[in-house]
This record gives sequence, structure tokens and C-alpha cells, in this order.
Amino acid sequence: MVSITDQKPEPAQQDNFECVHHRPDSMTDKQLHYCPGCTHGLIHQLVGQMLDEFNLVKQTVAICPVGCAVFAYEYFECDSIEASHGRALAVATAVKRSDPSRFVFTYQGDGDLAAIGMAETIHAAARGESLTVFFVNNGTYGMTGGQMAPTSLIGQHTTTTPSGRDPAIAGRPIGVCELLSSLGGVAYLARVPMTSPKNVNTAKRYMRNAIRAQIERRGLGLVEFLSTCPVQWHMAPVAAMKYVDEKVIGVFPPGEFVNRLEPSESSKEGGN
Amino acid sequence: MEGLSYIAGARLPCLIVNVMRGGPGLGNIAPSQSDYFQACKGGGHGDFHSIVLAPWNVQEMYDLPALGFELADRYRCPVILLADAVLGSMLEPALVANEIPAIRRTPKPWSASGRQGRANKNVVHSLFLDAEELAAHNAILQSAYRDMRREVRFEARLLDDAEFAFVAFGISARLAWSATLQLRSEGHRVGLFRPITLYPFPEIALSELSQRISGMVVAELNSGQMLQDVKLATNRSCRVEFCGRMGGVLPPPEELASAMRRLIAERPLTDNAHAATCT
Ligand SMILES: Cc1ncc(C[n+]2csc(CCOP(=O)(O)OP(=O)(O)O)c2C)c(N)n1
Ligand code: SF4
Repeated sequence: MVSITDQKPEPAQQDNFECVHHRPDSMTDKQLHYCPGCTHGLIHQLVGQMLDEFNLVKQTVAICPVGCAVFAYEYFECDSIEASHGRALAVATAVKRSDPSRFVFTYQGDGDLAAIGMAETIHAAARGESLTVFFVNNGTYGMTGGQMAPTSLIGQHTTTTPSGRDPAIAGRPIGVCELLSSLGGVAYLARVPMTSPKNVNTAKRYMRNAIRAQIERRGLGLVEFLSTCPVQWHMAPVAAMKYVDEKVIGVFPPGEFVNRLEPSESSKEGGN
Repeated sequence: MEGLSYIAGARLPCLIVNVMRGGPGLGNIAPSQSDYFQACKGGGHGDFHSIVLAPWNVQEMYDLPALGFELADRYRCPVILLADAVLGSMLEPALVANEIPAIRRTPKPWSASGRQGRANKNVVHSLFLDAEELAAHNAILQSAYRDMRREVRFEARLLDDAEFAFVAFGISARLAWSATLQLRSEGHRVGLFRPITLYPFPEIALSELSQRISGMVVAELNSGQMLQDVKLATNRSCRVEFCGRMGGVLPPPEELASAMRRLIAERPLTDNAHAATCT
């Protein structure tokens, strides 16, 4: 029999069960607090898998955001710092510069990274800081009740755009990957929707590259996850996934935007 | 200010240098002391304090940062060096040790610098969603503020036989010292009380002083900010007058001296101690 478990494997497994998937060692056993159908949890899982895969947890400092992921530091086994809203990349810069042997990643929402923290983001990219950014774009301020974010789509109903985002009043969505593509300090930039097992595998490939950007000291590595917020979008989880695949990727096309890394064996093979 | 509040909440040591200029807003770049409230009364949200050090010459601009780092490490709090645009740009002799003492590295077992061999992770944060938990954290901060009281520093000049005193910090204390010497040459028994730590404020020393003199002139480059702490400390046990200038205007020492002469002659200034000028 096969079991899929949220727990790390116990030494004494039941004889007739084979563990095919477990929580990454780099994650704590604490139960995630995210809403049903929210892909924050899935992205956490991938971050944990990456810390395991690169064996990084002991040298990592995670910089956590303000937003739904404000408690990210409770879920990872690494040292963590909670930055104020939007300042994660400024804090990350300080940590990395004070000890370049550390692996430093930020985990940020679109309100955090692209609204209040846009200046920190652009300048960290322009300076070419060797940092890794996991950017969760769900097109809204999830934590505070679903206000418009810079990434909300035209026409999107939010609590601050109850009749839909009107570009004449609220402007047009900011494409973070498009914006950062022009900056020479960026070593790796990619966007991926979190909507299918295939896309999750692509996300892992992108994350490896964003991690390599830092390890090889080439500059900023950023992966933008097109994430869901079923609660604030007022959609069922499956409908939210469909919305990403049908609407969101039309405005935010997935793919690699910048890749200044040396080709690795796995990326040459297009591996996962 | 949000950052300062986070630093205080997360109990991180750091030294911040504020060379005060005229304000509010863009104001100007002339010398001012109008950030006293901001530095001494918290500045960001939440119940917190920073240790505030007020140098009055280039020597202290050189010496106090080392003390600032030491205190920041000892109490795990922000320390603010509160200077002004005169101190920030003036040239004068200062004694510099031939050998700069080696940096004393305080162990920081709490730091989030990567676990390496450590069994448990460290988290630097200021979030305590549970009210009781935050109250307990607040209590830890308050007990550090109580412990800090042993760091009170001030300078008393010509106060042993004084009947009247200037109370001033930073560049205002330099002006008040010139005025003190002038008044002494005229035969007045005047001295200078100069707080070096603005937080913790030398309230006990000031209270004791207020009980043996007749009056004080508080001199500041603002509308009367430290004045409030002086009034609280002296608690009406002597007369307290204010002499201040705003906007980056440096009063000549004579302006302070004449404020003191008026006090000595028991001709009160306006009762409104917040009146900004004393000419
Ligand atoms: C300086 C500051 N401004 C505003 C807030 C309130 N706030 C908390 S979370 C948040 C938005 C979070 O949205 P996002 O970054 O998109 O993350 P999500 O919750 O969607 O994951 C805001 C505005 C704050 N905590 N601090
Ligand atoms: S509010 Fe939205 S982003 Fe936040 S946990 Fe719930 S679904 Fe996820």
C-alpha cells in the first residue's frame, strides 16, 4: 500500500505501507495555517524540498514577509528573520553582505514585494545582490481582506475596487518579471503558475536556477509563482486554479525571462 | 520609525546617528534639537525606548559611538546618538587614542545567522499575536528599561555653590556654558547641568539639584521638548524658565545670559514656557 503523509517518516513504518512522499526535513511539523486551495502551502513545500535537495538548511537565513506568510518562520527549520512589510530584500541584503557564506532567501507576496516594497525590490535587483526571491503573486492582499494589489487584473473585483479594477482610476497591473528584466543585476527570472503537477515540476526547475544564481554569486534569482487566493477571490479552489490558467496567465505569461546562469546538466536536459 | 519599532520589538542592538536639522518636513539643514521627542519618547509605535546619547563636542562625537555600541549590546536595544548640524560639521581638536581598542564582540546566541551546528533555529521577530504573550514580551522590554537607569550620565559644571543653573544638552550646552562663564564673571553663582543620556534621563540628579537652587533656565534649539522632562523631574521645587530658538537659529550666548539675568532678578519670563524666543 502507498501512503501520502504530512508527517516526516517515523523510523518504524507500518510494514504494509511504503512512504512515497513526506514533509521535507527542512520543514517543521507545524500544521500550515493557509486556507483550503491556497497555493502558499504548496510553495512552502517546494521551498522545503529545495532546502533539502541543496542541503542548505543549516546555512540558510529565511527572510519572511508581512502578509499571509507572516508565520513562514514557524514552518522552516532554518534561522529566520521577520522583516517589516516590503523590506525583506533590504534585510536580506544586510544579512548576505554581513556573511556571504549564508544562503539567504526572501518569501514575499505581491503586496509586500510589488507595492510597499517595490523600491527595495528594484534596488536589490539593480545592485545585483546574490539573493533568492520566492515571489507569490496572488493578485490581491490576502491577509488584510482582499484589497487590490499592483498585480490585480483589470476588472478584478477586490474590496478596494468593488466594481472591478478600472485602469482609469487604479492603473494597470505591474508585471514584476517584465519590469525587472531590464536590470543587469538580475541573474535569473522566471514565472510559473501553480496549477498542475507539470507546472509544479517546472516551478522546481526554476527554483533550482534561482538558488544557483545565489550560490554561484551571479546576482538576483527570482521565481514568481502565479498563486491562488480562493478566499479573497470568492472562488472554489478548483475554479481558482482554472482562473489562473485561463485569465491570469494571459496577463502574466509564464516562462523564463532572464537566465544568465551557466547551463547545468539538468537544465540542458530540461529535467525537473 | 517603523523600522526602529521593529528593531526595539525584536530586541536588536544597533546604533543610529541623527544629526538634527530644522523641521518639520524638508525644513532646512541648519542646526536644531527638535527631534528630542522623536528620539526620547519612542518615535515608532508600541511601548519602547531607545537609549539616547547627546554629545556636545567633537571629542564626544568620537567617544560616544563606542559606548553606544556597548550599551546597545548590553541591553539589546537601539541606541541613538543625537547630534545637530553644528556638531556634525564643526572642526575642533579631539584626543584620539594611538591604538584603537579592539572591537569587543559580544556573543549573540540569539542571532539568526544560520544554524550551523546549533540544535535549534533562531527566529528574529516582533510578532506576538496572542495578547498575553505580547504583554509578557512588553514586560521583558520594560525590565530592560528599568535596568538601563544605571547608565544615566550627565555633567555638572560649577554647580557646587550654584544658586541658578542652565540645563542644556548638545550644542545648546556649549552656548549655555559660554553664558555661564559670562555670568560668573559678573558675580552670579550660575552653573551648568548637562544631560549626556537623554534617555534614561538624569531625573534624580536633576531633582536633587532643584531642591538646593532657586531656578533653572532650560536652553534648547526647539520649542521646549526636554523642558517637559525637566519639569517632571523638578516637580515645581524651583523655578524653571525656557530659552529656545527654532528653525535652525543659533542664539548668541548673550541671549541665554540675559534670560538667566531676568530669572535671577526674579522677573519671570512669560508664564508660557513654550514661548519660543526669549529676546
Ligand atoms: C507598513 C505596513 N503597512 C500595511 C500593513 C498591513 N498589511 C498586512 S499584510 C498586507 C498585504 C499583504 O499582501 P501580500 O503581500 O500580497 O500577501 P498575501 O497576504 O496576499 O500573501 C498589508 C497591507 C502592515 N502590516 N505594515
Ligand atoms: S487569504 Fe488567500 S492567500 Fe491568504 S491563506 Fe487564504 S487563500 Fe491563501
